[in-house]
Amino acid sequence: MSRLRYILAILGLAGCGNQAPSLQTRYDPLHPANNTNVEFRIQAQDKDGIGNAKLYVYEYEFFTSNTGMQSARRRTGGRWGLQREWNFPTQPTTIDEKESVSGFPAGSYISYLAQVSDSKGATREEQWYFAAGTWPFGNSPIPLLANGAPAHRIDVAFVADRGDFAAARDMLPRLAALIFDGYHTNNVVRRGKGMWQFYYSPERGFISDFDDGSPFTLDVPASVTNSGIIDHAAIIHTTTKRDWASGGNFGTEPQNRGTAVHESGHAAFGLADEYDGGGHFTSSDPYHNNYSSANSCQNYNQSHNWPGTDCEAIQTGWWRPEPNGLQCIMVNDGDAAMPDFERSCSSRATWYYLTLEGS
Amino acid sequence: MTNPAWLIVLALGLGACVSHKTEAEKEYGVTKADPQKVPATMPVYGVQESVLVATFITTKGGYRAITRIGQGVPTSTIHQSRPVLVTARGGTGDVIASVSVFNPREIRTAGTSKPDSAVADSSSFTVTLPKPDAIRRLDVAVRRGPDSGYRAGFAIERGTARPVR
Repeated sequence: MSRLRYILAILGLAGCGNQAPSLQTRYDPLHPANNTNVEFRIQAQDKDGIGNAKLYVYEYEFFTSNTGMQSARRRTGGRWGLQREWNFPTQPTTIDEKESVSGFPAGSYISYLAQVSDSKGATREEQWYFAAGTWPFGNSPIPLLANGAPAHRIDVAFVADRGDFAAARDMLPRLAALIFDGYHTNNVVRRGKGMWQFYYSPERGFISDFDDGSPFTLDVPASVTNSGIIDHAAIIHTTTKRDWASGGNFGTEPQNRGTAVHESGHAAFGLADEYDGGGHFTSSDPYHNNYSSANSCQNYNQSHNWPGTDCEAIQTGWWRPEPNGLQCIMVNDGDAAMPDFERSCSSRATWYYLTLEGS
Repeated sequence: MTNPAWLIVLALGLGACVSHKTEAEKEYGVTKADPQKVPATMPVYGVQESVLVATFITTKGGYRAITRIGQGVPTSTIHQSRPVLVTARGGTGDVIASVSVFNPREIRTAGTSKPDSAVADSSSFTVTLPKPDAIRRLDVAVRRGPDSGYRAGFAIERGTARPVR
């Protein structure tokens, strides 16, 4: 009997060390038109080998509740449950599977749940919601990738620049890469992927070029700024402009993924710039990345077991606790590349995620 | 008496299990989804509540407030260090909510190369505040950037704002 207990304990030890697979999912196209086929893609990695993957699809229809709330309910006769199961007897360490599903009618809200298990039974899953077919709620932001109450999420709205896109939907193919190959590949966004929700505005907007001498114009539709759920907006344009930010909102070319995440670092996490000539300020929130004296910077680093000697002057009157050599995204946005948030900025993001989850 | 050694081994194992994930590996916002327990009905934007929707129009001359009562989600109060602080107060001056926002007239070039800045002639921002029926006053304080040091107060009566001298 006691030998059995030892074996169970040791098995428990071994099992505890087993990590669930890493998982990335996406769907295409974003906000599919009426009855347009949707392709779901599941990518996963696990050093123990992948044993099984499942894709569930749930079909809702939008409606307005008695209290006037924009809502969704299960569609009678719609898809509801397991869509596809894959078994992998050879237990590959990576999988990349696709499943095409026939399209959805106007006014659809679709949920997909991907569940992947490794050969030892550790499971990881993610669930997302997106709009499909004709949008019934006027100019309200359209969910592209959502999974929870906006009050406990970072909600980003993309707005098509009317100078470059004839309709807001024309921007969507560019957003797929910005979200899935951009935001989701950043170290801090990746580990808080579920905290980020993405929408787009049915109305277009505009951002002027910082350098063209015209009045500064950052036109974010009122349906976005007054929505009460959007935390910050990004005007997406394809014409090359010198972009700028104001009020937490910003403009960017869709391929400049690093720039977008850098600006979201200001807007979402309240981080300052770490480069000379940027926006510098102190903050009472924990894990800040700007200090107004070398002494306060060194004290900050030492109190978090980071070398005080890492503090570097940014410009007269400002110090950063992360050395330039770490190349945090707040010191170098990488433009089309995607640098990481480094230790102090990453810790700020963790604090923000935890606070937002518990708020 | 049972030999407790196996319990010690198990406890060590559980300890290793708890501490196994490093800080960098922890994930946030991941809810354990059960395919058998998917909700049949849901609000698209989460549960909304009655809020005071306050839009501030800002120029070199100061701040103007336009308010109304509507449905929505209150603006997050997590960040309190942003340049402009908006404080909603009740009839006795008690703080109902305070939110901090970016300075709406401050402009900074995006990204990290060739940094520059400017000041917008005018701009606006909107915040949503809880307990709209209890709010009697909004105070605005500009702490950094354009108009730094500016303060203004607005009396709120049935959701409508008027400036207070």
